Amino acid sequence: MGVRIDASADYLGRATGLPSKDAFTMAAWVFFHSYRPDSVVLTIFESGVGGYFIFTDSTTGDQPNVYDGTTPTALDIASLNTWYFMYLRSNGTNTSGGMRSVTASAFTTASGGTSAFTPNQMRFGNDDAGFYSNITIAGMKIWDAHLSDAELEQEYMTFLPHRFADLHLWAPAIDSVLADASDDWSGNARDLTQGGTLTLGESPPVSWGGLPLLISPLVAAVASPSLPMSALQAVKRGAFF
Amino acid sequence: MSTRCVFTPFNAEFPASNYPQLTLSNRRPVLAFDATTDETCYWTSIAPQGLTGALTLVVTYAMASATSGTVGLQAQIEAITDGDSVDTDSATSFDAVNNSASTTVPATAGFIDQITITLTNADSIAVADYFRLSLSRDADGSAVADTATGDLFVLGVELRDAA
Repeated sequence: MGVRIDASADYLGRATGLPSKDAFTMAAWVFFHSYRPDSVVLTIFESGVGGYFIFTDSTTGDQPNVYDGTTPTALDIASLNTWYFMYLRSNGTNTSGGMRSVTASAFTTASGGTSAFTPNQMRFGNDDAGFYSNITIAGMKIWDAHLSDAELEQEYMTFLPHRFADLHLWAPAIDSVLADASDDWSGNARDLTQGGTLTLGESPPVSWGGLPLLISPLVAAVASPSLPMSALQAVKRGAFF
Repeated sequence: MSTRCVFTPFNAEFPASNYPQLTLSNRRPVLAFDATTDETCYWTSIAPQGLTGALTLVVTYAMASATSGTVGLQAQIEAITDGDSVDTDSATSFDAVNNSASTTVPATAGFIDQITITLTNADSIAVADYFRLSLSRDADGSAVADTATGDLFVLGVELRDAA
């Protein structure tokens, strides 16, 4: 499943314990149901001051931009009814973002500078009446680190995080119970707050990332990572492989 | 019969469209196959040592809401041997479809049932082959009568051989 964001009060976010704006990466799978000019997809910001955003262009709303607090830089035209893996990150010198559809062979990226603010909100979507998105979102991951391009290539492949170091929050949003769809599975107890009236949506065509159980006459060759949910709450990479 | 592979929702792979939803049912990972649109997922593996003879697939499922009607599943095997000329960059080579029987669902939603599919068409799979298993719900009933409403939750799939 995923979480449907489609009205002016809708968002998923957190307001406390946020990553540093100078060393973070946030990523998610995003499905655009319709184009909305100036709609926010990913953001870390300080209310009334500024922040970093991925938001759509102000004319037709079909082109996400990376906004570094000063200047928007265009990414790719987004097709409707298509899943995109999107990310926003900063290393304190550059703020950059990217998007890649399920069938694309590479990311489209854009980069800008930085700006001054003290983050007090981190959101998928935004509840401002003028800036809400019409999207379904799933597979949300946030790190207290600036992931490299190579790391983001890996994160594109599976729901399961490849990098567990500095994992700040991981909300796969696959639960069929809406109240549980914003749960943090990283073990850091950073559930996302649900703003507005959200509903459940579809999930992206992305593998969880587990391995099959093979059984030869001699040994069970590979252990399955399909662990109970209780174990997943305290996930460590070593437990899966 | 021997169990050779076990596949779960957490190791399924998906086409870009018409795929079952990966979700949780009472915190159990499931693949939710739609009742009106044929949806497909895949599992990839290497044919394990010892694999021999005819193959069967045992699909463990439960219905999300239906308490009556029937379901039909379809499975296909793509087996590629070292040296085969299949261009994996651009082509697939699944063998013909294997249909399940049209199977009456449990009278209580959430109760599990197991559907066995005889893989008569197994693409001559042999030990060490790279292979993919495709599983679909024949939601439109084009080959197997499927009248049950609501999602069909696949909880796990077992591949057995003749050993």
